[in-house]
Amino acid sequence: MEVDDLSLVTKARAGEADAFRAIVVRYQRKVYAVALGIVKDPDLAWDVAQETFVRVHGHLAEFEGKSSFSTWVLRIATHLAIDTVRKERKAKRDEMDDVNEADVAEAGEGILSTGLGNDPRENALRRELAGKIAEALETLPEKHRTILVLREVEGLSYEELAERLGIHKGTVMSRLFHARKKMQAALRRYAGKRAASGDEEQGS
Amino acid sequence: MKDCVLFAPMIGSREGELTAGEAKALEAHLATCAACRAVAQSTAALDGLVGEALLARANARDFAPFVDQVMEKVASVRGASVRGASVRGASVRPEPVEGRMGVPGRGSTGSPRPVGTNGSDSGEAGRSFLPWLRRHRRAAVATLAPALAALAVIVYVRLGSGVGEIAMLELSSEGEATTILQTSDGPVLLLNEENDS
Repeated sequence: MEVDDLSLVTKARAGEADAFRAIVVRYQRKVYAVALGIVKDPDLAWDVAQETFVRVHGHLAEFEGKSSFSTWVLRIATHLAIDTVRKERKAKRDEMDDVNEADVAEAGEGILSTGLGNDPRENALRRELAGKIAEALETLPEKHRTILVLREVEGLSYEELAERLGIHKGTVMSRLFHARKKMQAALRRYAGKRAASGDEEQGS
Repeated sequence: MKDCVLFAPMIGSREGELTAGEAKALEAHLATCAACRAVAQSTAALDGLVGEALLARANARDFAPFVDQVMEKVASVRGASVRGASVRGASVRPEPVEGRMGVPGRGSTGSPRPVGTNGSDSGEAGRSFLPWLRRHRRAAVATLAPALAALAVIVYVRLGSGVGEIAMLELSSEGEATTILQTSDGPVLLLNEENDS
């Protein structure tokens, strides 16, 4: 039976190295995935993930259990990743998050759904497309990458995203909208090709 | 279209994230707006893919050395803290996190970076102290000066007084004089007020 997080935390606090190792092994991939989504560079993500656990170890005594342990760990990872990106980034302003009519019109082209279908269980193309997602994600500004990663990897709600990122719920919604729109734009050409090739196959 | 600007950001919300009123209004809008239905379809098509892709990349990576590297770093940080305490904050502090985060291309895919050894290595502490001393000469002088002055006073008083005799030494600093009497019972410090009176 798998030992629960709190038991491991208690043991790690008491100085049991094996307990802390178990915590690291349990969350290393998820922490890395979050870091990778935000910082883009695999080696830098590796460093961020490691630093996350160093911080976790150093602050175990401060974990109060108000949120789940995984949320606490991933919050540290998120902040470290964002800090890292911001330090790396040249002074460059991201575009505004307001939603205007042109945005909605472009987002409504629907070619992505046409090309991909909507049923996640039956859509084999999703797996193939997953390989392209990381590339597309890298083209997004940091704030859009971050919010998409937190939403999709961590599964945070609007409220949680607002709290984590220090923004209003309305900003969360509009930022997510823009982030998705940019992802769709990055994937559209690929999905369009797939849709076209599918039509050809059906026609022949 | 004006309504679309309002409702488009709500698309992709999960159950319970919108108020009942918002959810109802969104549903009504989607029923009448083909553009927003297309947005909803695209959003649904993308849903979950980012998470899948990132976790797939994480799963494709060899994590065998990860935990050992973390444990080494933890030991380094802890060791550095112990050293820092043992040298009374004078020399070795844990390396700042920012410094260890590195820059792109300097990742630790292989062996972890050497960030120090554990606190029992006194030779290492000594080697670390000297560079610190070179970098912070003024601080070192400021720290050592009172100790050296006290040592000089003790030596002076000890050498300059016979057993059972009372020797007197006056120190002046910033215009204020302090007198130390070396008696057979040990040194006695006369405070400024007493000197003035």
